[in-house]
Amino acid sequence: MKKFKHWHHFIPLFGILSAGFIGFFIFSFNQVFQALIMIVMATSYVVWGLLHHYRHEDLHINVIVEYIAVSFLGLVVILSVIFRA
Amino acid sequence: MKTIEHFLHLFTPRHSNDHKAKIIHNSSIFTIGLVLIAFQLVLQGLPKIGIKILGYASSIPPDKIVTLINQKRQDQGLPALTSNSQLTQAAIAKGNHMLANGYWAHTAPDGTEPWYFFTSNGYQYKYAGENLARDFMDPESAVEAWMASSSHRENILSTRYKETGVAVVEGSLSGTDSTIIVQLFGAKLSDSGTQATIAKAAVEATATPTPKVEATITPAPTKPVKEPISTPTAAVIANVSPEPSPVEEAGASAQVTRESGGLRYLFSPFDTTRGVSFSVIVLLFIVMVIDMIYVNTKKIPRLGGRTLAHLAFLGTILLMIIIAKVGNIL
Repeated sequence: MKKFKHWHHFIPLFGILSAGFIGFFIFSFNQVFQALIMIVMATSYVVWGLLHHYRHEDLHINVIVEYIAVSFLGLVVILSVIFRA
Repeated sequence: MKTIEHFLHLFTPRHSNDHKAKIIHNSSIFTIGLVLIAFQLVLQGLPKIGIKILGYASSIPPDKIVTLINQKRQDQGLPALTSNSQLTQAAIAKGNHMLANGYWAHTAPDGTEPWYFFTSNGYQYKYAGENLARDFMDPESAVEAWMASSSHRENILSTRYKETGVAVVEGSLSGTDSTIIVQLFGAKLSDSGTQATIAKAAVEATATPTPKVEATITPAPTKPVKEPISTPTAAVIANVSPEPSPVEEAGASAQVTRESGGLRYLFSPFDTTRGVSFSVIVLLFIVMVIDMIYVNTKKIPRLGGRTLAHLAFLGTILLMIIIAKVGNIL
């Protein structure tokens, strides 16, 4: 069975995502806070991806674009929902 | 046959898409994001071309708001607020002013402050405050949202206020039907026993947790200070439409929604946005799971992001979509 390398890199990722989700929930009455939390979470996700792949020595422009694309989509989705509420 | 090929090309890893479903290629993800932005622009633009959208025409009994607020106060050992007809009229006036002038704020674009509605309805205040809410599905949610905000909570639990007035107005706000709750808090100048020379007003603002705005005015000495005219048995809570003369009082609780010209579509922008967003993210999530299983099974070498990380991120987005609530306070 293939060993799951660098699993410990995922601890900060889950920390970022958990903090984002909890913050989003706690500030459910404040759209601006929620939007800021989402922006910080999406940015942190990209930074995490870059650091992870840098340490994994497979950081490539395609990888960078992929993280930006996924975080961009997440940002669009959540901001749409927040400001339609 | 060609359709099936195209479907497989879009959603499954295969030779034609370089062993990665086309829909999760970087270009496709960016495209989906841009399409979602375009969708929002279309939703935003519908009212401008005369198409009316039904936002929320929820049933919010104003007296229920007062009851809930007083429950919160009593939980803290504070005396209940009494309903005041002048404050109720002021709340109606404020709600209608927002609908008529198309704004959602404490201060109108023309600079009209909340205090104007107090004094113009004959309420000479010593203290005054305002909480606003819109598009909540029920009164409990609105009150809970206020209680979750420190500045709104401060208004609700303030010992300075003795009276309140609540209005629920329905109408078109920027082309979308909205239900706005206006709750005004006050203490009469005459209640202080002596004529105070300075009146204070506290209003909630939206962006920060401590947005209290203090305004100071000098009441005109020639204005008579009226005694409260509300009685416990006479409801002074109104539930109104934004018609030019919408005064409904003393138990007149029928909600009237203004019908304006143009096409009228019965859908909720929030629910539509949430449904579309949820579907898109679930679709990408499933495709990524298939992709991850395929890559691991076939041991395909690939230079790209961690699918597990993307799944965690998209999973968080899904949870956020699920817990997102409709309703807005100010």
